[in-house]
Amino acid sequence: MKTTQPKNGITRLLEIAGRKKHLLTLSALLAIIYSLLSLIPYILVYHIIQEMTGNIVHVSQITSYLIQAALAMLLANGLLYASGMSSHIAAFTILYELRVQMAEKLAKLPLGFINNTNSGTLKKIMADDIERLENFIAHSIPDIVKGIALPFCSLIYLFTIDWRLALASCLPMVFLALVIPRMFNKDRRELLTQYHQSIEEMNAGIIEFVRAMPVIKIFGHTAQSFDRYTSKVEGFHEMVNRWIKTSSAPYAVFISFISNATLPVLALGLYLYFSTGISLSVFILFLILGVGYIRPLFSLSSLGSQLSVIDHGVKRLDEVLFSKEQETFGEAELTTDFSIAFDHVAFSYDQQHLVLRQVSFDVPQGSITALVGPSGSGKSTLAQLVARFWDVTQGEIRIGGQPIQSIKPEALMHQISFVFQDSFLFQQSIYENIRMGMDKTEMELIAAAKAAQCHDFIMRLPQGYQTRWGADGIHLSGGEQQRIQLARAILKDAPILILDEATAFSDPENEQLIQQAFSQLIQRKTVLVIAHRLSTITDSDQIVVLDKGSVVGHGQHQELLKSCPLYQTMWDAHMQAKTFALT
Amino acid sequence: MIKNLLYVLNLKRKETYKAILWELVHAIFLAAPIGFLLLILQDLFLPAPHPAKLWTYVGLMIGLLVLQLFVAVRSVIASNGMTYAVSTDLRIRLGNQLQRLSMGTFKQRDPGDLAAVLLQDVANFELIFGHTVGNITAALFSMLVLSGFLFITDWRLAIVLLAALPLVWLMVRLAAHLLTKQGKKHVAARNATSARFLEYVSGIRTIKSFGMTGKRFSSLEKALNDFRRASIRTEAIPGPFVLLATVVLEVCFLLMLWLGIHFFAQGTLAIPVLIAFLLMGYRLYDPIKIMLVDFALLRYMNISLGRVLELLQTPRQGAGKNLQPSHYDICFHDVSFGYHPERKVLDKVSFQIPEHRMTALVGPSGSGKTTITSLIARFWDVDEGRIEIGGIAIQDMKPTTVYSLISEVFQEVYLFDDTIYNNIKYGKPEATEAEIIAAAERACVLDFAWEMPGGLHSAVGENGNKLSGGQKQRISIARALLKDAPIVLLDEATASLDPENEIYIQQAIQELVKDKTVIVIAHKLATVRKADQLLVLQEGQIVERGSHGELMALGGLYRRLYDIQQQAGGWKLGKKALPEP
Repeated sequence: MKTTQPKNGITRLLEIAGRKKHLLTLSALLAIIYSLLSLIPYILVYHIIQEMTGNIVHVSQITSYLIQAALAMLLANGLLYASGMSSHIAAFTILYELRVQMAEKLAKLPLGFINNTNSGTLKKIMADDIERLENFIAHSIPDIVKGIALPFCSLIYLFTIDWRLALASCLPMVFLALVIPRMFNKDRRELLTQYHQSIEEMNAGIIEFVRAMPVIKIFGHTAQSFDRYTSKVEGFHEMVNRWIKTSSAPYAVFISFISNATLPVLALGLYLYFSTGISLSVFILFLILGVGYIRPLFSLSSLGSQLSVIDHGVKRLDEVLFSKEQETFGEAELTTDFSIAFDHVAFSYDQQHLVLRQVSFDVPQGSITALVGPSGSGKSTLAQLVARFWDVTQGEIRIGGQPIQSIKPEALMHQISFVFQDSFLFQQSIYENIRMGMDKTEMELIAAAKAAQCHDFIMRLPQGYQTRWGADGIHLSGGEQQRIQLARAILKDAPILILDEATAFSDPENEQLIQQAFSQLIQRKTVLVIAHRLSTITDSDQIVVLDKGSVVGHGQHQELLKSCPLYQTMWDAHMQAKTFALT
Repeated sequence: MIKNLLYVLNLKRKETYKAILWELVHAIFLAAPIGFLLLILQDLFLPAPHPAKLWTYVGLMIGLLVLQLFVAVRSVIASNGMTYAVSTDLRIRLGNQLQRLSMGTFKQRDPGDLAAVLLQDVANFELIFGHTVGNITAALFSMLVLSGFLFITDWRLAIVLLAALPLVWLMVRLAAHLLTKQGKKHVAARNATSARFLEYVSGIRTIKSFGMTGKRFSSLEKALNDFRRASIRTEAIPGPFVLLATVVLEVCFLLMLWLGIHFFAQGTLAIPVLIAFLLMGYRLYDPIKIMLVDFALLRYMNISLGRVLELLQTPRQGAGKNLQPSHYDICFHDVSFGYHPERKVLDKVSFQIPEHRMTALVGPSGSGKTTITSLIARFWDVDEGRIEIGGIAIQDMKPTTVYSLISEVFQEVYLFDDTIYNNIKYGKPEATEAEIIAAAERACVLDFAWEMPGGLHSAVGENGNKLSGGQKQRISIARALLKDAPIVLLDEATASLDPENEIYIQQAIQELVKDKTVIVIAHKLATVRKADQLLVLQEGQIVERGSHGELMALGGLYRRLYDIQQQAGGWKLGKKALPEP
């Protein structure tokens, strides 16, 4: 178990950026050199003015200065590009790594994590929240370096020329640094919270409006729902207007003082010029450079709000990355015994309501055990516990006598095949969809496809096994998709098979083929089947009847028809549904 | 970009003019300090400058600064107010537009995609436009004023400075062109990443059970890596041109300086003029430099605006007249329809559906069964031919009228994040509690609701995720029962989505179709064998029609399908029953 807590705020951002320390250091160094070089034109102007006010102008020398300055600018921008590229390469590589890390982490968490989290939310973290880091790593870091290095170099240079004027040129900066934070008082912060709330409310309203539109139309509620939508949108607009009014004052102070930043230098300069007689060229230098260095600070002004957005995203990412993984207590390998024992198993998804309680029974090696019960009885959950998609809350599940929590997760997965209710095909070739990364030859794969009765319809596809699932015009019926899933399981040939007997299997035209595919699959396997249609499993070695998480019947079909009232009711309902006709 | 911007700004003309006006006034204040600086410098270069006059200038500057505080507040309120007035207007227009699009649009486009236009795209406009509008107006204004001023002062130097502009424009166009090209690849790579990731999340059980987690799931890894490369390229390719544009600006400035010194040495240029150019020249370029920085943002905004306008300009469904049919038989006259113009799903189909009778649509998947029900509900409009309800062409009716005549029970169910009770009530807002409970009972909702802690007032969760598929189905049937529309469109397979509860859903459906005009899409033929009329479809045409008995006697496609299903009778799992391998 990982107990390390994620760091917060800027420390965490820097920790993430630290993954590509070297590239980012390079980027920062280049940005510093760029800042130094970009001072050159200013210094040059100073020297030219000096010469001109002295009335001795060496045109040829100035020409060579100017050419050097032009080259310096070319070099500076080249370095800026290199700096930007190294920070971007660093950023995008970090984003890539974080995404891979997130995908890996998701697979290590209990299945409940993904089931309880909207897939849109996870996608948002993966796509948007991680992407926002690009802004910090690729832009903010070089911007901060430039934003500090440029004023710093300028100021040092200015102080070497005239310390009094240099001090005066600092005044606007000091003033703004003192005044602006004071204007961000508590009321404003509260308003900001309300503002974010209002955005969220509007967004939720929009999503519901769009998603529910088909239902809204069908039931003729367009007017009411549009009113609700409009009121949310207008509520946000009102909030924004309040927000604009309160935030306009700090902005006005900022922009006004920045655009008049020459004033202190101008006033002091005039005074010094008339009293002690500083040279005109020094005065002009300060008027140009003494104000110019403030500009890079501009880009830092929006940094705060940007960082808070990024930080928000990182928090959501860390909720995934630092979630508790499943624990394993041993290194046991599985040998030859694949019987399964459920020993007083209890389970709860939320630590409050038990979905399973006191479930005990054995599944002998090589037998077929069916789990039946009304929907919500816990039969699917029970079967999935065997593969540790979740871990039991109490009790123990053993395979071959070993508690499954002491078996290495990879080894456990290796011994279990699944056939799920929803046969999930990936957007890749049919070949890869069957192979699923297993180390098998083409011969073996085709043999499995033949056994699963897939080979014929696969060969009818435009590119046979290389046909890409999801490509335009590629259609497979539900039954065909199921058989591909069976081919996967046959190819994997694991000793334990967990099977969800599902709706898509009701494909009357191909029933015979599916029957054959199954007969291939279940040979010599320990089979646990989650049954929805009782007629499918009447021949099982044993049937376990579950109701509200408890075992209420256990035996073979004929016995249960006599001994278990629930089983009887379900059987009757099933028979009735089979012969139902609409009138 | 300009066309898109003008379009949206036109929506709020008054606010826009007001904002531009304030921004212009503010631009004067922004430019004023430089003007004073120039005046002061002119005086300083005089043989004997007047301190008093210079101090007056400084005093005026301080006075203007105080005034500017007030103007800046007004301008920021005006321009942000305008931005959000426009975005609010866009949101309301988009909402209004969504209501008027054909239902098919919602089935065809991903709802998340539509919501993204209303959420992200409008927000992109808000943030980027709000952030740049002030900059841009002030920049354009000060560029105009400054270049005019410089031209009057010394046209030779002004030309050198202005010569940079076409070059920069060229570079920007080039960068924009490359960015658009690369941008498409970038977007494609990003979408692929999202698609692969969603696939990874949805298929996580399969992926886990085959040990293909993380990097081992190669299609995700590849998509992520492709996206990384595309992102880097998107930065790398246009970058040099943008920076080269900066270099051009710097070089032109230095060139101007060099010429200025030449002219000065020749005696055709006074020092104060050169100083003025030194100060103003840099200022002239400032707006361009800001625009170069905002450039990528503006293009990004434009892409969003494009999506907004595209949605706003999607053709709406015809409004129709205020006609209300008095009886509910349905008639197809030579109806042809295709989702794509080149592929017809229905080809000149004609049939009658009598009132208060059950008509079943039978046929292999892809034969056009679902399309027929979608056309009756006016999710789409026919390409050719005519559909009538009670003798009135549905295209002459308001879409809302058509919807009010129809209840549908399909495989997908949308429930609001509300209680079971309110979800049922949605079918008829003015319904009494007794009516709602009666509907809940008839649709077998009470059977499961009474076991829940809140009974009928239990919450169903986001899109009903606290309920099983069959439970959601039964709520939607209760809702339809309450609506009590004369026509029922039904997909029979909905019942078998939840095998344990199949019989209850079947019973609920049976309640719903009583005394209605019913069109049912049939999968299990035995279920509809008592229908008054069966229409057998194949490749978009009706190949057989009649009652069950007639079609069985005919011995055609229907007979064949029916026999296969009867013989099948369900498969079995068990080693005893299997043939020896």
